[in-house]
This record gives sequence, structure tokens and C-alpha cells, in this order.
Amino acid sequence: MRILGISAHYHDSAAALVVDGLPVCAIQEERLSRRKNDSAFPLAAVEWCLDEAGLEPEELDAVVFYEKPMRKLERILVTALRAFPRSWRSFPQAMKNTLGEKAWVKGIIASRLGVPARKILFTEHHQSHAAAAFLTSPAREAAILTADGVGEWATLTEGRGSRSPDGGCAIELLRELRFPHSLGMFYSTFTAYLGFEVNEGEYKVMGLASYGEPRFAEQVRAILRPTADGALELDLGYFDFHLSGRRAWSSRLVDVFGPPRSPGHPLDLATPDGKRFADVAASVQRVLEDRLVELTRALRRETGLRDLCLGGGVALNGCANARILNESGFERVFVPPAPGDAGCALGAALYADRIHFGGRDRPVPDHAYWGCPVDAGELERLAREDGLEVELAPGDRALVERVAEELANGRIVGWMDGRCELGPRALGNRSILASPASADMRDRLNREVKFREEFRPFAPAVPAGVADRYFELPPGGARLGRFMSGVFPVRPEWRSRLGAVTHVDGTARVQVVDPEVSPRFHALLLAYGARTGIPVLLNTSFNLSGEPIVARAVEGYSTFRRSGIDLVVAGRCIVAKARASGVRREEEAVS
Amino acid sequence: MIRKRGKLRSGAVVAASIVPSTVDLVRALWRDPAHKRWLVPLVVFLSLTAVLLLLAASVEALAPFIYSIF
Repeated sequence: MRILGISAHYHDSAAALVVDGLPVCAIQEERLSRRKNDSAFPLAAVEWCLDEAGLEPEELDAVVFYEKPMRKLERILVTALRAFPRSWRSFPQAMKNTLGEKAWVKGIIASRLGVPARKILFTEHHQSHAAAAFLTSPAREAAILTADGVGEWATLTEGRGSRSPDGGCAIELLRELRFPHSLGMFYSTFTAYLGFEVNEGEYKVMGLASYGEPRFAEQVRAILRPTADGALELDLGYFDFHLSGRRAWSSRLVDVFGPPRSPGHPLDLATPDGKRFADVAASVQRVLEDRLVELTRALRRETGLRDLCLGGGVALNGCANARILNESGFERVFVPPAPGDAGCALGAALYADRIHFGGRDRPVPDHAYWGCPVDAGELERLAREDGLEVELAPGDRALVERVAEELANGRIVGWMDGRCELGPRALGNRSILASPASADMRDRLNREVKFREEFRPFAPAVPAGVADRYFELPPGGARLGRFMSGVFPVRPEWRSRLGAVTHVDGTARVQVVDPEVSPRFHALLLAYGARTGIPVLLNTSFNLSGEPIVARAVEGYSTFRRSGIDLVVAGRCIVAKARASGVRREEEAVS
Repeated sequence: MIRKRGKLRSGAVVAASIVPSTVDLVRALWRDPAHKRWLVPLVVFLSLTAVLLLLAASVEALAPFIYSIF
């Protein structure tokens, strides 16, 4: 069967194609449209997926949308009417947004793709999350927990998934938490309160949390509290997101935590206000983690299963994931590379294949590289047109040695290899790589390349075989590190030599690189290690602030030209800027 | 290759989908154990509004007449 999965209209739209039970390709619309977090109908992504598979739209057996828009309309109506008269201002805007395109997805898909309405199916939002988490994992049987802002009504679901020996699959969601009680909305409200952009700045809250003390934790616990039946509830007196579109929090929240930070206002951690914001972030992060640990402990007791699959945007919180692995009792925790809405395109397609059509289970390749490939020839052509020197490595070995030498000399490398990643993380195919040795490199990257806040940490990548030497990985930690889904302590003896990737609290969001999944990146790490003694590289996404991660060579080249990246690599093609004087081996600078 | 359709034809396809989608929602509300039948008139009204808005967007000649309703 040929099944196209689509997620769209809220944030991060994407398309994924599953043929005969296996994903063929999947890509976020933003990577092609070049608009960060593009939520428009993913026509470019759909077109690319069909071209990649050599299919026409009429050859598809089904097109699956990742949620039920009419149930969402019902939720919006009920919420607005419940909040009347306070919602009278936001209601017309909400209706205009919804009735224009979002509610009539069946018609939109039929008109844009030309497929008959009978081929268009819908899954529930959290079913898509659950499928993206469980059906892409290698677990035979696992508990499932999904949590995000809101889908139709559900904001958090618990359930279990199983694969039977005869090839059948089952996903059963046992219970759900309903809007407006939502872990995602809770975290997003504080993201907005702290002056960051919702659906984009949640990472910043997590990074900022490490600079603070959780001195508001008791107040936050009173806002997000457990219920007698083991669920959670928000004290809605502190929130306005369900009442108006203007502001997510109420004046009561300001009474407790003080005035909010204005977006764009400098965040100086040396000032009392800066310290207060860091303390609020630390308190919110602590309580989120505590509540998730409580939920997953109960789920472990109830199901008795060893594996847990996490889905939904909340599963992007690496600190929480690490605590769940350490404290819930589950032996393995699986988080897909795209646990948010983008991954739902793949989840919806897999759900339709395995559950709706009863397709036989097939192990899904355990990687994130489902997007468009890089064309080294394109980079070569662009560089030659600009009069830059182009070097073509004679083989993989030569390429890896050459790039490792440059990295060891303290240069910053834009690295493009194979197909781009699905999801928000650069996992070695569209990455900016640099020496992790000193904090100077972190500052240089922030200043010359990424143009972002100083308190945000950079991630390390380490070969699977030696990860334990540098990072305190608990059992199952390497698996969580496969897609950079866990934050773990850097071993104290290495912190001074991994200064660029060690966060202020001594942790790092580690990527554990498997040689079978990323052979060239793995070889590069080893080659770098052979030169410097530490096979760890700083790995950050190949983009500039406010832009999507690069997908094609032209975007990588453009980013290279507009930033302080010294060297860009695509396939075996290497393009370098003129070498600055005074470049030295990074480890020499540290010692 | 995805064929690009005209504005009018696209609008007609979307408009045609509004009726079955609305019927599905009305049916779900009618059967809802939480007694949401009172939402049905509002849903029908909003769906009719959506059809008008879609017509205004798809058939430009009709737009001035439809906008004057609002």
C-alpha cells in the first residue's frame, strides 16, 4: 500500500510517505519553503515525497491527516462559549482562522492533490503521536505516554502498544487528560511569560533553568497538581490561554512570580530580574520533571512493561526524559527523532498502515534521515561561480581525515551528508561541527555563526563505543542519546576539556553516534579523536538564528557565506574560506 | 507531479466537502454523551458562513455581494 501522511495548519507541517509498510521519505515543509516552523499545507513536502517515490497522487491508496479537524472545531467552539463573555474578542478571530481552511481538510487535500475524498482518512492527534513513538521503535511491547499542548481535546494520553508474532500491531490508548489541563500549555505559558516565542523558545526555558534555583517550585506545584485519580490538573486561575487569545497567563500568575519579561528584552543573569527569570524557569522545569516522573512510575506499575515510548512535543524535553529513564522504573525509553507534530505525518501514515488497514508489521529503520539528499555537485558549482577554491576528496577516508584536521585546528565546519533529518535536531547530516574543547569556541559560535543567547548550550556528539567514558550514561542512556533526546552529566574529569559543550550545571545533551546509522560521521569523530585524544565534537544545527535547518547544498552554501563558518562540506566536496592567521589547535588553547 | 487546479474548481471541491464534514460533526454532537446537541445550530450556522466565505474567495465577481452581508 502507498500511504501519504500529512500534518499541517498549527505548527511544523510535514509530509511522509509509507510504501508497503516502510517509510520511504518524510520532510518538514519548512525545509523546502525556508519559513521557520511553516504551518501551511505542506504542498512542497508532499510533492517532493511523491517525486522521490516516483508516484502520482492518484496512485496513492490513502492520504492520512494527523488529527480530526472537526473535533478540534468542536473544542474551539465549546471553549469559546464556556469563556463567554471574556472570549468575545478572540472568538471571531478563532472562527476566521478555523473556518477558512483548517476545518475543511478533506476538501483541501482533495482539491490540492486531486485524490478522491474516499481515500482521505483521519487519525486522532495523539494516536498519531503514539504511532510515531511506538511503531518507529524496536520495542515488541511498550507503555506509551504522549503529551503536548493540545490535539482535538486530549493533551496527554497513556496507553500501550504491542506487536504480535503473526505480524499484527495494536495501539491502545487507555486514558487521556483533556484541555485546558495540559502539560504542554503549562510549559508554553511560562515560555511566553519568560519572553520567549511559544513553540520555539521552550528549549531556551530548559537552558535557562540550569542557571536558576527552583525557589518557586512550591508555588508552581500548586499550579500543576496531581488529582486523586492519578491525573493532573492546572489551577486555571493562573491562566488565560483558554479564555483569550491575547495573553496566556492571568494577573494572578504575575502576583506570584512578578512581572513577565518583555520579548526581546536583554536577559542579564547578573541582575535581580534576570535571576528571578532563571529561578522561575528552574522551578517550572523541576515541577514538569517531577510530574512526568510520577506519571511514568504509575504507568510502569500498572503495565509492568520494561519499555516506554514517549511522544508529543513534551518529549523534546531532554532533562525530563533523562529523569524518566533514571527514576520511572522503565529500562528503556524510546523517543522518536521528531516527537512533535512534524513526526505525526509519519505516525499517521504508519497508524493507517498497521492499524486501519491491518498491514503486517515491518521493522522501521532506526534513524532520522528521511529528508532530501544533498547534491555535492551543486555546492561545487556554486563555489566555482563565486571564485572559491573547491577541493574534491578522492574518497571517504581522505575526506574524513581532511575535515578532522581542520576541526582539530579550531575551524568551524558546515557538514552536509546524505539525507536531511526529520525533526528539530541536526544529527550529523546537516550539522555545524566544531571543537568541543573550550568555552571560547562556544562564545565564537554564538557570536559569529548562530547569533543566539549566551545561556543556550551546545550539544556534543560521541561514538557509541566510547560514550560512557565521557558522559555518565545510565543503562538505556545511549539509546536515548541516539536522537539527542536525553541530557546527561559530563564526567567531572572531562568537563574542563569539553568546555564548549558542558552546560553550566555540568550536563550535556549528548548524541550517541552509531556507526551503522551514520558511518561517515562516526568515522569523522574517530579521526578527530585520533588527533586530539577526545573523539567528541560539538554538533549544532546547520542554520542561522530564525532560519530552518538547511536541506539542500544551496542553503548550506548560503549559510556558509553569511556566517563565520570556515569550511562547508557536502558529500566529498569541500569549500573553504581563506584561512585566517593565528588559527591554532584548540586543545593547545585549552592546555 | 501535482496538477494545479483553478481557483473556482478548488473552491468547489472544498465547498463540496463542507457538507459531509458538517454532517459528521453534527452526528457526533447528537450522539455525544456529554449532551452537546445545543451546539448543532451554531455548527450549521458557521458551516453556512464558511461556504459563503469560500464562495467569496473563489468567485471574485460574487465577493462584493457576499461581503455586503457582513
